[in-house]
Amino acid sequence: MSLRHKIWISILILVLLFTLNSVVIYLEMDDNKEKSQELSEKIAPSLNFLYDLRRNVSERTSLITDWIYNPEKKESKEKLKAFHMESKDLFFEINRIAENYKIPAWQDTIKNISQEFLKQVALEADIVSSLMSLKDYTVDQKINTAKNTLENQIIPLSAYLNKKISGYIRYTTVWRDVESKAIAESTNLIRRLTVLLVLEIFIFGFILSFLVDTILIKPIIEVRDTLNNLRNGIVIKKPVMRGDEIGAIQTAVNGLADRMDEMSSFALSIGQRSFETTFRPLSSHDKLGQSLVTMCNDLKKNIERLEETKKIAGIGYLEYNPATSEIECSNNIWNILDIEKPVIQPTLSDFLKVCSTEDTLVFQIQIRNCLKHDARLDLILPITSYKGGKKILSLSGKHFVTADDLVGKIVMVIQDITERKRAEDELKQAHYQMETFFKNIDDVFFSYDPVTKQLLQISNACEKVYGYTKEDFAESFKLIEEVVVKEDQAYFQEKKLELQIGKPVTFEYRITRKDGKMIWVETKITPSFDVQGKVIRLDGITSDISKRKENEEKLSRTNEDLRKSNSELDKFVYSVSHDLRAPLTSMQGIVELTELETKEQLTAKHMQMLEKSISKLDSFIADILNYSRNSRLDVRREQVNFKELLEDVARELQYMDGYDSALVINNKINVEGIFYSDPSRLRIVLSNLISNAIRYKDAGKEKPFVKINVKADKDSAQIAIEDNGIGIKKELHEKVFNMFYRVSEQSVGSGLGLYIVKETIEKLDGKITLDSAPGVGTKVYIYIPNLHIQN
Amino acid sequence: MDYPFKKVCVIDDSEIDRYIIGSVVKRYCFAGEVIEFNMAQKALTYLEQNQNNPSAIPEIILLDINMPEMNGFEFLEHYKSFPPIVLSQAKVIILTSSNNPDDSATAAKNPLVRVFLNKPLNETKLIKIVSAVKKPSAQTA
Repeated sequence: MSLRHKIWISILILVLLFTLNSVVIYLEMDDNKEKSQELSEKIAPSLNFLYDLRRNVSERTSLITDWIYNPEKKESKEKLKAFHMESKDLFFEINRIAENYKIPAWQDTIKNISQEFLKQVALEADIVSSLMSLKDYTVDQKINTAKNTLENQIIPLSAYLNKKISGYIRYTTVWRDVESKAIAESTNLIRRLTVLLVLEIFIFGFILSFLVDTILIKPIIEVRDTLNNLRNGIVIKKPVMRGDEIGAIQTAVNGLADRMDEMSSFALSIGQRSFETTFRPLSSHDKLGQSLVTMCNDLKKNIERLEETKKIAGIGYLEYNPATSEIECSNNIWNILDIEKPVIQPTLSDFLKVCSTEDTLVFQIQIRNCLKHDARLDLILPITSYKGGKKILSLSGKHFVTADDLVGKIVMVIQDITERKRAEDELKQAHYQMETFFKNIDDVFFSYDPVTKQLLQISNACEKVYGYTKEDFAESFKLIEEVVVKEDQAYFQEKKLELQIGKPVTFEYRITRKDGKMIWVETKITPSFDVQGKVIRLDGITSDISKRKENEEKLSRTNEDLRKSNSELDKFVYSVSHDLRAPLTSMQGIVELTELETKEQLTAKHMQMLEKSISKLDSFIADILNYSRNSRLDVRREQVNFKELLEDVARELQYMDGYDSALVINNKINVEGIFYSDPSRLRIVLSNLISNAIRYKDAGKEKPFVKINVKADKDSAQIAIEDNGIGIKKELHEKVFNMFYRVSEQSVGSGLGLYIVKETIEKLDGKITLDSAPGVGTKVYIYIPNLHIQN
Repeated sequence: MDYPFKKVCVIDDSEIDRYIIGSVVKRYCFAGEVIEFNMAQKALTYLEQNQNNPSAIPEIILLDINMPEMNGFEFLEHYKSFPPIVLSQAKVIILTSSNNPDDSATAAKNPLVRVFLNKPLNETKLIKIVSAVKKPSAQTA
């Protein structure tokens, strides 16, 4: 049952009791009031009246007695008269009182009393009226009647009334007493009930306090204590005893304690670098949980990164306990030492194993100093790892003491600097080499800072080149400009401007050396920039190029001479060839004419022989001309149209001896793209080869042919010239290309033809091969590269 | 007699060559008349004098290249500024002993030259001249 219900029910019960109690009290009090009212309004006055009536009756009797026997007592007469005046009132009063008495018997009695009273009153009245004046008193009869009435009627009536009234008084008194008792009892009851009520209030308060205390306050205090403990980090759970709201609070607090436990063990595991936990945020609103998880992940990442970094940097961490000689190392140390992390507690000797004896000694001395004098431990330690690898380590350490560890520990950072050392050594060596190199080289190396306008360095060679020393230049860098000859100053300044905009420059100019001599120098300057693109450094080299200039001039002169002589030679060759050729053509013309005109067979025969000789001479001259041109002229690079070329050659050759319609010339041309070469040279080659094929055809063959196959692409051209002529013996395949070599006396040519072909092909960077068999034919293969690539 | 050409002229410094050409032309009835000039300048003068006389202008000019004082190409330089009527009538054929490809290239570039031929002149070459002249474009042999 929940606390709330308990409280409600308790309140309800108590309220009920209250109400009941109060109702009872109220009723009692009401009753009491009634009774009191009756008492005060009816009974008491009645009683008082009755007393008065009795007294009245007695007094009347005595007064009437007095009237009779003591007529002189005037007060008594007056009093009696006064009584008589009130008699009616009394009578009515008596009847009225009768109404107070509920019992009819008693009412009758009262009424009887009233009647008798009246009687008495009447008798009195008679007496009074009879004894009015003093004279009446003298009359004995009146006196005697009066005395008689008194004795025989009034006194017994009065006695009777007295008795009856007294009875009534007794009854009324009893009645009054009963009523008073009842009232007293009732009042007692009320008093008791009131006390009960007060008690109930106390009890109620007590119960409530008890309830609140035990059932409410105590557990709340317990919860508060638990929470306080939690706040201070102490986790103490109280068992949950109840199933009500307080129990629920306790459960929640226990849950909180559990959560805090979870978090603290989570934090602990993070502290111990164990990141695999099952800790999860409770919900999307669990900010703390989520922050913890994020922190855990970040930490994990950072630690991983740190480990990676340390690994990359080759850094490890070693803690040495001098008391126990034990060491604690990061994993990287074992990596560096090339050994698995030892299972049993490693000691310093495990580490020292990789050091030489002398180094061990040095290391131990340093440790001692570090411990005794708090000196920093710093050393470079060459080691041989467990796998035999030679490494160099850098150790830095310090002695740390804490309050609860007075011996302390030496904490060292160890880095594998093998690579760095190696690089340093290499750099040192390179530096040394460069220094030597610089000292000996003849060129002037210099560096200049344009921002501070300072010469950073200049090599010793400046003295060789300029005649001025390093010091001269250090004094004023402007010296470099000053030595430039007047004519070249403007050019020099131009180049300076180019430098300023960040272009590297190479330029030649003349300077005047210290000894007055003028020389040509070449300067190369490269600018270096900062991140904003400003020039922060100029590095340059100046070389004395006098020799080179001399050579250049010589070369240029030689070239000029060569060109001149070439052109002269050209003219000479052409002039010679023309002068040789012109008469030949004239001779040919005359011979032809004579052949046409003569009717003499012998003459015709002679003319033919003459023509042959002239032809021979003509072709020889052509050959010489070709040879001369091939040797001297540069290779022309032009687009080659093989079809046109072959057609031209064929056209030229149609006049030659041996050319007839029986001979079939077949061209097969396959060109991919554009082929570049020297067309005039190609023409010479083709002309020679095809004319050879024609010249040396086999007359015995039925279908003599010359097949020309051209295949060209972007790389090269392959030309094959095939005939079924008389062929060449194998032994002579090489020889045919020799100068002036003729296979036989019957050979018509000059012997220059194939030589020229070979030379020409070689000039075109090509190759030529020959395949032939006597009686079968000859195949000539030519390979020439495509000169499309510009050099 | 019907000749392919009424009048042709020869410009050549070699007497023998002029003789050969003249004989060949006569032999093959190539032309009715052959005018000979041993100097290019003389030919220019003649053409200039007769520029308004169509009957005096030859239909073919057989021009040698290598001549002293004024060679064949120099002749063409002067000739090209002649009136169109002369140019269209007198068509130039180069006839030379030179097998210098530069010469044939220069001739090919010159629109005035119809054909480039090597000496000696013969029947085949005459036929070539005829076919070249009857067609509008220039050709080289």
